[in-house]
Amino acid sequence: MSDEKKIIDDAIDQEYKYGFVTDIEQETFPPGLDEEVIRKISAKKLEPGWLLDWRLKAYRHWKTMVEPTWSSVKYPTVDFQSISYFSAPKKKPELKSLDEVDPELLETYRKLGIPLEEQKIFAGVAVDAVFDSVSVTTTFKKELSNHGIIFCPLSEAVQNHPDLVKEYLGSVVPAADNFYAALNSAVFSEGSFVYIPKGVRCPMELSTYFRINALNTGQFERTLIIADEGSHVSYLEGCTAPMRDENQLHAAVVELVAHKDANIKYSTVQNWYPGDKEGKGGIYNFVTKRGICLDDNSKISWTQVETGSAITWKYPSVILKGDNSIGEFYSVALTNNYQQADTGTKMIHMGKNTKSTIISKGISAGKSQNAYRGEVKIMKGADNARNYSQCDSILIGDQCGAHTFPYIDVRNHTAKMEHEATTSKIGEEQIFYCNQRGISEEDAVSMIVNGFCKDVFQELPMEFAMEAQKLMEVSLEGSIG
Amino acid sequence: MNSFYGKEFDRWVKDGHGSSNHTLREVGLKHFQELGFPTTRQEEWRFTNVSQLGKSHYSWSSSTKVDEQAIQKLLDEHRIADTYTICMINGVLNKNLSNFHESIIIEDILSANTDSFHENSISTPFTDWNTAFYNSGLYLEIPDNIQIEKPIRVIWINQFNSHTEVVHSKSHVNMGLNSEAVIIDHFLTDSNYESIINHVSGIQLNENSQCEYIKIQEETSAKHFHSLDVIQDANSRYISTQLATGSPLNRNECTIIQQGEGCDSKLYVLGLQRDQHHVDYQTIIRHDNIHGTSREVVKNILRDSSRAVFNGRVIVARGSQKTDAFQSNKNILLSKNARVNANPQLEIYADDVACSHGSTTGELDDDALFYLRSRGIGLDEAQSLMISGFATEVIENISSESIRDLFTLRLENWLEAKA
Repeated sequence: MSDEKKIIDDAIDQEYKYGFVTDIEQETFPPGLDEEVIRKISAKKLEPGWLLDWRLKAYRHWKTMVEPTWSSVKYPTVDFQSISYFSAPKKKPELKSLDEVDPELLETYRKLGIPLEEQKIFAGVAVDAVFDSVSVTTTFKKELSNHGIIFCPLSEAVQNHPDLVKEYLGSVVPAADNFYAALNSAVFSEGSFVYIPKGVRCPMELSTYFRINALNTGQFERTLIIADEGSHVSYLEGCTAPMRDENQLHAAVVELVAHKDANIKYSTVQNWYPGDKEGKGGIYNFVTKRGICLDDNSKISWTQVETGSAITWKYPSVILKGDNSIGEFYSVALTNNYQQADTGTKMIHMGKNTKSTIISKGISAGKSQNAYRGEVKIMKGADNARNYSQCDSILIGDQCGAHTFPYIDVRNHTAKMEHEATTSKIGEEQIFYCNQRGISEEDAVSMIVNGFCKDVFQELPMEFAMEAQKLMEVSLEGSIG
Repeated sequence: MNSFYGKEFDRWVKDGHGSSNHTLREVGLKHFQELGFPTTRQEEWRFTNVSQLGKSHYSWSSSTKVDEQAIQKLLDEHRIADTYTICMINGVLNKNLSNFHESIIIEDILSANTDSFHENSISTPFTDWNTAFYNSGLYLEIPDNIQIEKPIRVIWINQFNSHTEVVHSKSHVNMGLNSEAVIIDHFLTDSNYESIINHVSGIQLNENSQCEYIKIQEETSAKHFHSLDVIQDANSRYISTQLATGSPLNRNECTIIQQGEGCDSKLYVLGLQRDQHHVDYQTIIRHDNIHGTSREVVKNILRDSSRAVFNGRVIVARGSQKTDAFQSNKNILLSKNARVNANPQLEIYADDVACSHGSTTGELDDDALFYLRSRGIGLDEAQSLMISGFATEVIENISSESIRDLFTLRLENWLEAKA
């Protein structure tokens, strides 16, 4: 027993690896939010009038909304006036190549292991890195543009492709959708924009790396991905933040639009700072992610590995509007210490013969609470809709909690809806079996947990799968219940 | 609404009712007036809309005329062999029509102090409403070490004279140490009014007792609200089987609390829905102690424009190790206007547990139908066969043969009415 305790303590003592602060000259707005701040953000970005109006409309609506309280996560109320809504590294005029990027910044990304530099070109990943509120650089732009693919910071897209942005921005997650989405619509400062033209298969993985660096700032990025007819894209997203005692808010919005026969795969490895072992500090990750399969035979797949954040509260969803469209959700959520997660998905079946699959794996350790909350809605017109959901949880230690809250709404009799969930701890027999074969307890747990998550990991692109597996090992070493 | 029920309460008191527990009643009334009827904006009522109840004024006069002939006829029609009978007319015990074993203790609920029993349960506008107005009810006790062989059937007959009447009935069952009994709540009515039955009941299982609880709900036009609290002491066993066939609106809230260690709870529900009927099962099984087991199976078969709501929670409290809980909700949709809302929920705060749940919704399996038809069985018969098979998982848990037969008969009636 004492051995076990020691191992658990060791695991819990694990420091957050990405908790450094980059010393870089920043331009940050003073904390507070009013229409003036929004006008200033908009002016900074040289935005056209319609976008400013859109922001202001969202802000005015947001003011009438109340913070939602229905989730099972608990946290002190966020003071929205104490957050700074814009923070950027002091800008040098017009960067033409990576050499001109602030070396401090490049160093930061090097520490994070992002293949940002040209020398890592063989990694073949095109990266848009968002540092606090502005996008630092986008690599591989030229090669992508040869295929007609647009991959750039959202602010740049507003300047260069205003028609596309105007058409799709807010089309999946309307400005007034929910409390945090409305806030994001009002103050979003950066994000990525992707457009894949008709029939193009994106030749490489696209990737965004988000980092919150400055103190007392919130990050409100907005990602918009449009896959035109018959196109195909795989998009990766990663996140880290420095260690700070205060909680920081991250309220992003991600919108995906898949046209006829298009395929979007969106993968996230979220490793925001989770707070220390007393539950102090950490990121509030309140994100709205939604995709729409607009036309027939389209497909959207969400894969997420959530190991960071003090609180994770998000539900990547798919609206299956086109006939024969497919929605998928693969998730691993790991919570330790005082972390809380309330995450899951929504699958709204509207088209005929639509299919959705939900695989969710929750692992809770320490004093954490981990909840799956999801909704499967099969509308009247969704003939022969098919859903399969599986939500499994593992508990490590007797101080944590694992919860499952699926909402099922079936309005069509030809639908087939299946949901199952299990909760248990790692079997003593399983550990014993491994011990017997000379595998240490620590390795056995890591092996079993990785096996438990295999269904999700195999959906991740190669580089991410490796990173995810490593993350799990770090977070779980030896924490045997 | 507030002023109406306030006046109603004053009139009620003036008529000489509600003299016992007056403070408790006033608290109930206050809560009820404050909360009013729930709206769909409240999580527990999201899928069951009762807001229209606020538009009418429901009253209950205890002097409602009782038609004895009609009651006798109803009793004859619903005779079940090999059971004791306790007859409750509009919530009041009728000894003349009852017959039961002498070792069973039966009293008016007002003379047995059972109020503390519901203290820890979550009150709803309907239980508050009941607390304010209930006037009589049944207290049933099986003394320590007594086993009753024959099922005890409590028949709740409610007679109404208008659409805006409500009956607030109440019952409490106390199972003594090591006692055993089968208790049936059978709800009947002969009137066609869309009135309200608002029933609150409790079952206390003392150490090592066993209660098989069966509920048969057969009111055809009245709205049925029932809130049941079950509290189990160590090593007690609770097996419940429920049949819901009627009622345009049928809401059941059932909370089982395993207070002692080593408890076993089983909950089986069969809902047969038709027309525009709406059935809503809200269940909570709370494992508050170690070595508890629970099984919950809720099955609905829906045709026409009927709708089934299931909201089941299994809560394993911190420290309730070695809990084994299973929850299953299955629904068959036979028509394109039927609708299902299912929320099976697990809330687990202990690690050494095995908990799982499953929920499925769909129509009858095409392949299985094809298999039966390829062997010369007609479509209707094949469908009936499959539905019967589906329902058997619930019915087979009933120990009494005569009750099992009644369930099977109701299923057959329901299947025939389809054609």
